[in-house]
Amino acid sequence: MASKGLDQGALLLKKQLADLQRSSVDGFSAGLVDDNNLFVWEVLIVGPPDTLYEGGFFKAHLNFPKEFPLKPPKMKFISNIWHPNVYADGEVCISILHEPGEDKFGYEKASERWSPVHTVESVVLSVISMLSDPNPESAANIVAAKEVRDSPAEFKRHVRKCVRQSQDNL
Amino acid sequence: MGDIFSCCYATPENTPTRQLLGPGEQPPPYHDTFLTPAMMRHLTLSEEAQLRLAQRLALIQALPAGVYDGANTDYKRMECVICMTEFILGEPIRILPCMHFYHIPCIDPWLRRSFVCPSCLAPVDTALLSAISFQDNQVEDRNVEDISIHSRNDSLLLNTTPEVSALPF
Repeated sequence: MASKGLDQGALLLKKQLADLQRSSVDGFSAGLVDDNNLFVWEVLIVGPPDTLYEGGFFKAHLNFPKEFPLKPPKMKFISNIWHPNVYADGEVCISILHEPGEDKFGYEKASERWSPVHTVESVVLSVISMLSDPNPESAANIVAAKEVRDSPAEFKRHVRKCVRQSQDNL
Repeated sequence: MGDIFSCCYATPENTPTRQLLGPGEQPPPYHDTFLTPAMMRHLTLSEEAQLRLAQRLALIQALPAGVYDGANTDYKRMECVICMTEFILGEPIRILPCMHFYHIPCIDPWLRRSFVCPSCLAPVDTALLSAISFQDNQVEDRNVEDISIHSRNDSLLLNTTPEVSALPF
Protein backbone atom coordinates (compact mmCIF):
# COMPACT_ATOMS: atom_id res chain seq x y z
CA MET A 1 0.00 0.00 0.00
CA ALA A 2 2.71 2.46 1.00
CA SER A 3 4.62 1.97 -2.23
CA LYS A 4 1.39 2.33 -4.17
CA GLY A 5 0.80 5.71 -2.51
CA LEU A 6 4.33 6.76 -3.38
CA ASP A 7 3.76 5.81 -7.01
CA GLN A 8 0.53 7.78 -7.11
CA GLY A 9 2.21 10.88 -5.68
CA ALA A 10 5.19 10.57 -8.03
CA LEU A 11 2.92 10.05 -11.02
CA LEU A 12 0.87 13.11 -10.16
CA LEU A 13 3.96 15.28 -9.65
CA LYS A 14 5.40 14.06 -12.95
CA LYS A 15 2.18 15.07 -14.67
CA GLN A 16 2.20 18.51 -13.06
CA LEU A 17 5.83 19.04 -14.03
CA ALA A 18 5.03 18.14 -17.65
CA ASP A 19 2.02 20.47 -17.62
CA LEU A 20 4.08 23.38 -16.26
CA GLN A 21 6.86 22.77 -18.77
CA ARG A 22 4.39 22.64 -21.65
CA SER A 23 2.56 25.83 -20.75
CA SER A 24 4.28 28.14 -18.31
CA VAL A 25 2.29 30.20 -15.86
CA ASP A 26 2.83 33.93 -15.43
CA GLY A 27 4.64 34.90 -12.28
CA PHE A 28 6.83 31.87 -11.60
CA SER A 29 8.88 29.07 -13.07
CA ALA A 30 9.23 25.60 -11.56
CA GLY A 31 11.48 22.57 -11.86
CA LEU A 32 13.04 19.76 -9.87
CA VAL A 33 16.04 20.31 -7.60
CA ASP A 34 17.32 16.86 -8.58
CA ASP A 35 16.02 15.24 -11.77
CA ASN A 36 15.80 11.89 -9.98
CA ASN A 37 13.59 13.12 -7.17
CA LEU A 38 10.07 14.24 -8.02
CA PHE A 39 9.34 15.14 -4.40
CA VAL A 40 11.60 18.21 -4.12
CA TRP A 41 10.91 21.17 -6.39
CA GLU A 42 12.51 24.56 -6.83
CA VAL A 43 10.38 27.51 -7.88
CA LEU A 44 11.43 31.02 -8.85
CA ILE A 45 8.76 33.54 -7.99
CA VAL A 46 8.68 36.93 -9.69
CA GLY A 47 7.75 39.68 -7.24
CA PRO A 48 4.18 40.64 -8.19
CA PRO A 49 3.88 43.98 -10.04
CA ASP A 50 2.52 46.97 -8.12
CA THR A 51 3.61 45.50 -4.79
CA LEU A 52 6.65 46.15 -2.59
CA TYR A 53 8.08 42.89 -3.93
CA GLU A 54 8.05 44.07 -7.56
CA GLY A 55 11.36 43.47 -9.31
CA GLY A 56 12.41 40.69 -6.96
CA PHE A 57 13.14 37.07 -7.92
CA PHE A 58 12.57 34.80 -4.96
CA LYS A 59 13.73 31.19 -4.91
CA ALA A 60 11.76 28.65 -2.88
CA HIS A 61 11.75 24.89 -2.37
CA LEU A 62 8.66 22.71 -2.22
CA ASN A 63 9.01 19.47 -0.26
CA PHE A 64 6.28 16.94 -0.96
CA PRO A 65 5.49 14.22 1.59
CA LYS A 66 5.25 10.62 0.42
CA GLU A 67 1.49 10.80 1.16
CA PHE A 68 1.01 13.56 -1.45
CA PRO A 69 -1.66 14.54 -2.52
CA LEU A 70 -3.37 13.50 0.72
CA LYS A 71 -0.93 15.69 2.67
CA PRO A 72 0.27 19.17 1.63
CA PRO A 73 3.85 20.04 0.65
CA LYS A 74 5.99 22.33 2.76
CA MET A 75 7.23 25.48 1.11
CA LYS A 76 10.38 27.28 2.15
CA PHE A 77 11.96 30.38 0.68
CA ILE A 78 15.66 29.95 -0.02
CA SER A 79 16.01 33.62 -0.87
CA ASN A 80 15.88 36.03 2.01
CA ILE A 81 12.36 37.44 2.17
CA TRP A 82 10.71 39.82 4.64
CA HIS A 83 7.02 39.06 5.01
CA PRO A 84 4.57 38.65 7.94
CA ASN A 85 3.61 35.12 6.84
CA VAL A 86 7.12 33.76 6.28
CA TYR A 87 9.15 32.42 9.22
CA ALA A 88 12.73 33.49 9.80
CA ASP A 89 13.94 30.19 8.28
CA GLY A 90 11.92 30.87 5.11
CA GLU A 91 9.03 28.51 5.78
CA VAL A 92 5.76 29.77 4.36
CA CYS A 93 2.73 29.81 6.66
CA ILE A 94 -0.50 29.91 4.68
CA SER A 95 -3.73 28.11 5.39
CA ILE A 96 -3.89 26.04 2.20
CA LEU A 97 -0.64 24.36 3.26
CA HIS A 98 -2.24 23.28 6.54
CA GLU A 99 -3.75 19.84 6.80
CA PRO A 100 -7.39 19.69 7.77
CA GLY A 101 -7.76 18.42 11.34
CA GLU A 102 -7.83 14.67 11.76
CA ASP A 103 -11.16 14.86 13.54
CA LYS A 104 -13.23 17.66 12.23
CA PHE A 105 -16.39 16.11 10.81
CA GLY A 106 -16.80 19.20 8.70
CA TYR A 107 -17.60 21.57 11.55
CA GLU A 108 -14.21 23.24 11.69
CA LYS A 109 -13.77 25.81 8.96
CA ALA A 110 -12.37 23.71 6.13
CA SER A 111 -12.29 26.37 3.45
CA GLU A 112 -8.82 27.40 2.41
CA ARG A 113 -7.24 24.35 4.03
CA TRP A 114 -5.29 21.77 2.07
CA SER A 115 -7.27 19.64 -0.35
CA PRO A 116 -5.89 16.97 -2.72
CA VAL A 117 -7.02 18.98 -5.75
CA HIS A 118 -4.36 21.60 -5.07
CA THR A 119 -1.39 21.56 -7.42
CA VAL A 120 2.06 23.11 -7.53
CA GLU A 121 0.49 25.84 -9.62
CA SER A 122 -2.35 26.59 -7.20
CA VAL A 123 0.03 26.57 -4.22
CA VAL A 124 2.53 28.94 -5.83
CA LEU A 125 -0.24 31.23 -7.06
CA SER A 126 -1.57 31.39 -3.49
CA VAL A 127 1.89 32.32 -2.25
CA ILE A 128 2.12 35.04 -4.90
CA SER A 129 -1.21 36.41 -3.73
CA MET A 130 0.07 36.22 -0.16
CA LEU A 131 2.98 38.48 -1.22
CA SER A 132 0.50 41.03 -2.57
CA ASP A 133 -1.78 40.75 0.41
CA PRO A 134 0.00 39.97 3.71
CA ASN A 135 -2.12 38.65 6.55
CA PRO A 136 -0.71 40.16 9.77
CA GLU A 137 -3.46 38.40 11.79
CA SER A 138 -1.71 35.03 11.61
CA ALA A 139 1.87 36.15 11.67
CA ALA A 140 4.92 33.93 11.28
CA ASN A 141 7.29 36.90 11.41
CA ILE A 142 5.94 39.00 14.28
CA VAL A 143 8.31 41.92 13.72
CA ALA A 144 7.26 42.17 10.07
CA ALA A 145 3.59 41.93 11.05
CA LYS A 146 4.02 44.76 13.56
CA GLU A 147 5.78 46.87 10.94
CA VAL A 148 2.91 46.40 8.47
CA ARG A 149 0.55 47.76 11.10
CA ASP A 150 2.62 50.39 12.89
CA SER A 151 5.51 51.48 10.67
CA PRO A 152 4.88 50.81 6.98
CA ALA A 153 7.94 52.84 5.98
CA GLU A 154 10.18 50.51 7.97
CA PHE A 155 8.43 47.48 6.46
CA LYS A 156 8.97 48.86 2.97
CA ARG A 157 12.67 49.44 3.67
CA HIS A 158 13.12 45.83 4.81
CA VAL A 159 11.25 44.43 1.80
CA ARG A 160 13.12 46.56 -0.74
CA LYS A 161 16.38 45.39 0.78
CA CYS A 162 15.34 41.77 0.13
CA VAL A 163 14.31 42.66 -3.42
CA ARG A 164 17.75 44.16 -4.15
CA GLN A 165 19.44 41.16 -2.54
CA SER A 166 17.39 38.76 -4.68
CA GLN A 167 18.44 40.65 -7.83
CA ASP A 168 22.11 40.44 -6.85
CA ASN A 169 21.85 36.69 -6.22
CA LEU A 170 20.33 35.86 -9.60
CA MET B 1 -11.92 -12.07 14.75
CA GLY B 2 -9.87 -13.06 17.79
CA ASP B 3 -6.71 -13.02 15.71
CA ILE B 4 -7.37 -9.53 14.44
CA PHE B 5 -7.86 -8.17 17.94
CA SER B 6 -4.77 -9.79 19.39
CA CYS B 7 -2.94 -8.25 16.45
CA CYS B 8 -4.36 -4.83 17.27
CA TYR B 9 -3.02 -5.05 20.78
CA ALA B 10 0.45 -6.15 19.74
CA THR B 11 3.16 -4.18 21.54
CA PRO B 12 6.78 -3.70 20.55
CA GLU B 13 7.66 -6.32 23.19
CA ASN B 14 5.55 -9.13 21.82
CA THR B 15 5.81 -8.26 18.13
CA PRO B 16 8.72 -9.94 16.36
CA THR B 17 10.68 -7.34 14.43
CA ARG B 18 13.20 -7.70 11.67
CA GLN B 19 16.04 -6.77 14.04
CA LEU B 20 15.36 -9.91 16.07
CA LEU B 21 15.58 -12.24 13.07
CA GLY B 22 18.75 -14.03 12.13
CA PRO B 23 20.40 -13.40 8.77
CA GLY B 24 18.35 -14.82 5.91
CA GLU B 25 15.42 -15.61 8.19
CA GLN B 26 11.99 -14.61 6.99
CA PRO B 27 9.53 -12.99 9.40
CA PRO B 28 6.38 -14.99 10.09
CA PRO B 29 3.85 -14.34 7.31
CA TYR B 30 1.10 -13.58 9.85
CA HIS B 31 2.53 -10.22 10.89
CA ASP B 32 3.47 -9.27 7.36
CA THR B 33 -0.16 -9.74 6.43
CA PHE B 34 -1.79 -7.88 9.27
CA LEU B 35 0.53 -5.14 10.50
CA THR B 36 0.51 -2.82 7.51
CA PRO B 37 1.82 0.71 8.19
CA ALA B 38 -1.77 1.97 8.13
CA MET B 39 -2.73 -0.49 10.86
CA MET B 40 0.36 0.37 12.90
CA ARG B 41 -0.87 3.95 12.95
CA HIS B 42 -4.23 2.84 14.23
CA LEU B 43 -2.60 0.94 17.10
CA THR B 44 -1.82 4.27 18.72
CA LEU B 45 -5.41 5.54 18.48
CA SER B 46 -7.49 5.86 21.60
CA GLU B 47 -10.64 3.77 21.90
CA GLU B 48 -12.73 6.83 21.13
CA ALA B 49 -10.67 7.61 18.04
CA GLN B 50 -10.97 3.98 16.87
CA LEU B 51 -14.73 4.21 17.24
CA ARG B 52 -14.83 7.44 15.26
CA LEU B 53 -12.68 5.88 12.56
CA ALA B 54 -15.00 2.88 12.39
CA GLN B 55 -17.99 5.20 12.07
CA ARG B 56 -16.22 7.18 9.38
CA LEU B 57 -15.37 4.01 7.43
CA ALA B 58 -19.03 2.94 7.62
CA LEU B 59 -20.14 6.36 6.39
CA ILE B 60 -17.70 6.24 3.47
CA GLN B 61 -19.02 2.81 2.51
CA ALA B 62 -22.56 4.22 2.68
CA LEU B 63 -21.82 6.84 0.05
CA PRO B 64 -23.10 5.98 -3.40
CA ALA B 65 -20.63 4.32 -5.73
CA GLY B 66 -20.87 3.33 -9.34
CA VAL B 67 -18.85 2.91 -12.49
CA TYR B 68 -17.94 5.70 -14.86
CA ASP B 69 -20.30 5.41 -17.82
CA GLY B 70 -19.09 8.38 -19.83
CA ALA B 71 -22.45 10.13 -19.54
CA ASN B 72 -20.73 13.51 -19.22
CA THR B 73 -18.17 13.13 -21.99
CA ASP B 74 -20.24 14.72 -24.76
CA TYR B 75 -18.72 18.12 -24.28
CA LYS B 76 -15.36 17.40 -22.69
CA ARG B 77 -13.12 14.69 -21.40
CA MET B 78 -13.59 14.19 -17.67
CA GLU B 79 -10.68 13.66 -15.33
CA CYS B 80 -10.48 12.73 -11.68
CA VAL B 81 -9.17 15.96 -10.17
CA ILE B 82 -7.26 14.10 -7.47
CA CYS B 83 -5.03 11.97 -9.72
CA MET B 84 -5.53 14.22 -12.79
CA THR B 85 -6.13 11.14 -14.93
CA GLU B 86 -9.04 10.80 -17.32
CA PHE B 87 -11.82 8.48 -16.29
CA ILE B 88 -11.98 5.27 -18.28
CA LEU B 89 -15.34 3.64 -19.00
CA GLY B 90 -16.20 1.14 -16.29
CA GLU B 91 -13.82 2.54 -13.65
CA PRO B 92 -15.27 2.45 -10.12
CA ILE B 93 -16.19 5.92 -8.88
CA ARG B 94 -17.68 7.35 -5.72
CA ILE B 95 -20.28 10.10 -5.87
CA LEU B 96 -20.42 12.62 -3.02
CA PRO B 97 -23.67 14.32 -1.95
CA CYS B 98 -22.51 17.50 -3.74
CA MET B 99 -22.45 15.41 -6.95
CA HIS B 100 -18.67 15.64 -7.38
CA PHE B 101 -17.22 12.24 -8.15
CA TYR B 102 -13.76 10.69 -8.03
CA HIS B 103 -12.02 7.34 -8.47
CA ILE B 104 -12.78 5.25 -5.38
CA PRO B 105 -9.05 4.58 -4.66
CA CYS B 106 -8.42 8.35 -4.91
CA ILE B 107 -11.27 9.65 -2.75
CA ASP B 108 -11.64 7.03 0.00
CA PRO B 109 -8.20 7.61 1.60
CA TRP B 110 -8.92 11.36 1.59
CA LEU B 111 -12.32 10.93 3.23
CA ARG B 112 -10.68 8.95 6.03
CA ARG B 113 -8.60 12.07 6.76
CA SER B 114 -11.13 14.78 6.07
CA PHE B 115 -14.83 14.40 5.46
CA VAL B 116 -15.17 17.21 2.93
CA CYS B 117 -15.38 17.23 -0.85
CA PRO B 118 -11.89 18.09 -2.19
CA SER B 119 -13.39 20.26 -4.94
CA CYS B 120 -16.08 22.35 -3.21
CA LEU B 121 -15.09 21.62 0.42
CA ALA B 122 -18.72 20.82 1.24
CA PRO B 123 -18.84 18.71 4.42
CA VAL B 124 -19.94 15.23 3.37
CA ASP B 125 -21.57 14.23 6.64
CA THR B 126 -23.79 17.30 6.96
CA ALA B 127 -25.25 16.59 3.55
CA LEU B 128 -25.75 12.95 4.52
CA LEU B 129 -27.43 13.90 7.79
CA SER B 130 -29.78 16.35 6.18
CA ALA B 131 -30.67 13.69 3.64
CA ILE B 132 -31.46 11.28 6.47
CA SER B 133 -33.48 13.91 8.32
CA PHE B 134 -35.36 14.63 5.12
CA GLN B 135 -36.22 10.98 4.79
CA ASP B 136 -37.31 10.75 8.43
CA ASN B 137 -39.44 13.80 7.89
CA GLN B 138 -41.26 12.15 5.05
CA VAL B 139 -41.85 8.94 6.96
CA GLU B 140 -43.04 10.26 10.31
CA ASP B 141 -43.39 14.00 10.04
CA ARG B 142 -41.15 14.50 13.07
CA ASN B 143 -40.73 17.97 14.45
CA VAL B 144 -37.51 19.86 13.82
CA GLU B 145 -36.21 19.39 17.34
CA ASP B 146 -36.41 15.62 17.08
CA ILE B 147 -34.49 15.63 13.85
CA SER B 148 -31.65 17.72 15.21
CA ILE B 149 -31.28 15.38 18.19
CA HIS B 150 -31.28 12.47 15.80
CA SER B 151 -28.63 14.14 13.62
CA ARG B 152 -26.27 14.64 16.51
CA ASN B 153 -26.40 11.02 17.55
CA ASP B 154 -23.60 9.21 15.75
CA SER B 155 -24.67 5.74 16.80
CA LEU B 156 -28.16 6.28 15.42
CA LEU B 157 -26.55 7.47 12.25
CA LEU B 158 -24.57 4.25 11.96
CA ASN B 159 -27.74 2.23 12.39
CA THR B 160 -29.31 4.01 9.47
CA THR B 161 -26.55 3.32 6.96
CA PRO B 162 -28.53 0.75 4.94
CA GLU B 163 -31.14 3.44 4.26
CA VAL B 164 -28.45 5.93 3.39
CA SER B 165 -27.06 3.78 0.62
CA ALA B 166 -30.49 3.61 -0.94
CA LEU B 167 -30.89 7.38 -1.07
CA PRO B 168 -31.22 8.84 -4.56
CA PHE B 169 -28.40 11.40 -4.63
